[in-house]
Amino acid sequence: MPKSIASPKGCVQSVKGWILDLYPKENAIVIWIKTEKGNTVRLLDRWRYSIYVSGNYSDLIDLAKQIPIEGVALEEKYVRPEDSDKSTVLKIPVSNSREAQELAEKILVYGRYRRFRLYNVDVKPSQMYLYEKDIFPFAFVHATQRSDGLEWRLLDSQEEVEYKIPPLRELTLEVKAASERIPRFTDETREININLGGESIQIDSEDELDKLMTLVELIQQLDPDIIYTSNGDEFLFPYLARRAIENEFSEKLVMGRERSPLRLSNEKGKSYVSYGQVHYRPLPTRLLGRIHIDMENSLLYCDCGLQGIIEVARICRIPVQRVSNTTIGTSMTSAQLYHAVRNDVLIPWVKADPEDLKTARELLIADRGGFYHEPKVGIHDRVGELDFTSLYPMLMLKKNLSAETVRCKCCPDSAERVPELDYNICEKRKGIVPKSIELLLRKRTKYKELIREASDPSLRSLYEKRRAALKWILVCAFGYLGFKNARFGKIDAHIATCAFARRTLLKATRLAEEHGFELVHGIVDSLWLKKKGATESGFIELKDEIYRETELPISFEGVYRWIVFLPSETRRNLPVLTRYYGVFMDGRIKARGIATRRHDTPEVVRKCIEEMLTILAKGEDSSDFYNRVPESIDVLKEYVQALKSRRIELGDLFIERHLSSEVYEYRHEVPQAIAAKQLVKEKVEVSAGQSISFIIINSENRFSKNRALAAELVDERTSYDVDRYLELLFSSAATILAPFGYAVSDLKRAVDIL
Amino acid sequence: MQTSLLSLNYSRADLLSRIGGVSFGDEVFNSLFGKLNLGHLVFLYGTQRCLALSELLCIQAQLALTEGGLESKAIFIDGGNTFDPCLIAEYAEQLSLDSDKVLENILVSRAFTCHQLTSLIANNLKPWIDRLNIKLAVISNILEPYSDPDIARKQSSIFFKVALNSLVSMIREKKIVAVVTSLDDEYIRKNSFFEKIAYHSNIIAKLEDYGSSTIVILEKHLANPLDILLNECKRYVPVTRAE
Repeated sequence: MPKSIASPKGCVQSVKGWILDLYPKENAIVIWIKTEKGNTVRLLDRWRYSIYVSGNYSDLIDLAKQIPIEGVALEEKYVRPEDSDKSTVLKIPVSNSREAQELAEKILVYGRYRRFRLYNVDVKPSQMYLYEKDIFPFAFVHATQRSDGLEWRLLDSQEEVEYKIPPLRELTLEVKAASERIPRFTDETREININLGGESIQIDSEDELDKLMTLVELIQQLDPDIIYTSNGDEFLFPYLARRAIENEFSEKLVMGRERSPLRLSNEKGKSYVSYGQVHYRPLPTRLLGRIHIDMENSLLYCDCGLQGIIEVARICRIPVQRVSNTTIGTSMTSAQLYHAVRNDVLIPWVKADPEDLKTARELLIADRGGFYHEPKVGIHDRVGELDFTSLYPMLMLKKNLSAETVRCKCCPDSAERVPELDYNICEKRKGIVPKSIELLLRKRTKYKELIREASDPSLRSLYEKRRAALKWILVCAFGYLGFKNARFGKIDAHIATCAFARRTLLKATRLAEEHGFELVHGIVDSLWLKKKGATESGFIELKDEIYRETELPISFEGVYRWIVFLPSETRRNLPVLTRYYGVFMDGRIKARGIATRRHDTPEVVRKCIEEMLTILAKGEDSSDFYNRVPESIDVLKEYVQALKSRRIELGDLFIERHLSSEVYEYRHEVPQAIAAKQLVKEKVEVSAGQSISFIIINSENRFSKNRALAAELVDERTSYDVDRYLELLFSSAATILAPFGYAVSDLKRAVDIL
Repeated sequence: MQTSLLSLNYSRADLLSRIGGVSFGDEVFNSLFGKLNLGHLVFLYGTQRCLALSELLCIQAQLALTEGGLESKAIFIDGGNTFDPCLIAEYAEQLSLDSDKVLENILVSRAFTCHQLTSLIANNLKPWIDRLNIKLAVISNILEPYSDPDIARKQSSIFFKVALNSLVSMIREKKIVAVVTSLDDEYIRKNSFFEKIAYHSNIIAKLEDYGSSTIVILEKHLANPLDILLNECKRYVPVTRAE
């Protein structure tokens, strides 16, 4: 079996392979290389990173005298990306992130929070190392040990779309606690299961210490590169660490390739708000030298698998381990930081540059978001859909939209202007944001071509995962322009992007109208059009014409046999922009904003609505659709009867909702709060942003605690609230049939419930 | 109506020194607050109404001195991304003013982090006041950025201190009316920032919703204590203002 060659003193002279993992160690970086033979080699590079301070020259000199650190020096850097000249700044080498943070705070205090600005303070050392050395995770490299450190030769390219990934040893770890219901840290370990390449090993010896010892031995022996867990960050690893303490084994619980044992952290996970919703991210468990992927908590892994994670790690220059457990925005920011570092631009510790002063009138014109055209509620025949591909990132790239380029000081009379607002756009330099998304857009297009050409399904799936991962990053790129903590974002650039997008959609609409099409619906980057007698080729011709005029890629999604635009649930005459369903000519169903798409829809409702749609989808046109409505209501009737006769499995009744605040902050007894309180009572840690799964047992019960039950506490004796689930079912069905005169009461009558 | 919107050319400085402040342009509010004097810090907190009231003041500031205005443009520093130009335009139309002109005379900058807000108050505000001869500055939703859980408490406290000290000294030096607003919630009431603003404020009023009306509770008024006390005595029962 290939082995890990640990060379703590960096005695390996030269090695060729893929960068598997890297992390800082006091005044050095440890890099694990996976060789072509399958061995894993540990390299150590003596390297320190630096923080930078800007301020008045004499203040910097004064500060330099106060800092007894070797290597403190004055350097020339761009303190702002928009600067045309470099400024003199103080460079202070530091050993680790904590030292950087503490020193930065002391400097701020020394300068009374006004004299100094700090840079590069909170950039992860491992990322900074990748930027400086111009290498990336899973790059194929040749490393040579020199007297002054490692010398890197890149034998790979980020541009590459058919890059090779070394064979990785992937292990799945499962730990079961000896509890009947909810596992707790105080429960002894019942069994540990390991799966490596389809081979399962069960550790179920009597003694708990014995189990832990066997686990550690097996991990060392099997030497996996990747360890997959379900809820490893939140429960499995903290649990193991706790059990190790109980068994006085904590110093020996080594799960990574370094000798450092797994520790039980006192820190908690983090609740954060994104697009108005509270999310929760548990504290990640890092296994040095290996990659831990918590399948429950890695959004990117769930959507794009390991291939997607590696693609992001390569393109954004961020360690694989971090990609798997951080937000997409963090990965995307890393791509921007790389361009900043390579161009000698310092990375501000805090974002202090505010929005440019504008008049309220200007704001009224500027802050309008994307284009939209309200649809007419009801069913429409033969509507074609055109979507601009990555419209916003494409505009950011083509129009050079970045914090430092929109309303730049260097070219106020530039020919490039933002529509409606007349803001100037820099002509002298390309912005950091466009630079960072250029490669992503190029690669996404390449993957699209490869997907089209690939005949091998596994290859196609691989490209699709990589492309999906890039899409995530691109979606996030626009949002980050206006995000409060984005290092190179600015609201004016965000506003400018929206203005260009509105103009693009208006231009496309005008073109469509000139060609005799009617705009049925339009939103952000998509248009739904119809024209009497229009064929697919007619839509494709229009698409080509729009592409010629706008120079922005646009795709033709297809023609719908029929499409239904749905109204608001409270105001039936008002359309909802993102609530519709329809069926393409080839039979594909597309639905947005209805029960089948909501994450809190119980499976029983989802299945029912999907079956109803499948029946409606057989309709060739609107009149055929109408004929099939009674048949779809028959499906509803079957589900109603199944619910009433309690034939539905409990698992199909779970409702999952996010906790929008901490449990104790809930003032109303909503079911997710009730379920969360039950978990807290069972000593489970619950935080804002976490998803809570529950079943409604008796929504009208006078005691709120009896209204819902957390999924973890459900057993075969659990009974559910039939009426409440019927309400959910009827309400979801009424949503899709609302334009055809069906309210909840009509549906109840139709299925003989009233 | 002798509405200025910055078009009159008579000796503004003379009149300002005589008139000395901006009024709310509403009988109930005027009787309760009197004029908001130049050089004073006004702290309005409570429900969304306090944000709306501060936006209304941005219109009032533009009116002729004889109409309770300051003949000045207004600066609105938005700490909570709540500034609503449509609402301003609506107010302007209710007052029979040219809404475009009113909107042109309000300068807005939004701060999304406590660092940005500190930078705006401590570094940008003074040059803007000088350049545009501003007499009214609104710092809206001031406490929200400093209550960001992502920022270390110690750090946000220090930045808040820097911002507040800059603001207070600027008000005195530049003789402007500064209106600071904050939404009231349990968290904000608990933190010391609230107390610090209250300490420096000449006027503090809390606005509460009461059905479709608003209750204004005048908690502090150091401008014309005698007059105001008389007024307040008359209206000791919290004032309910119809919509």
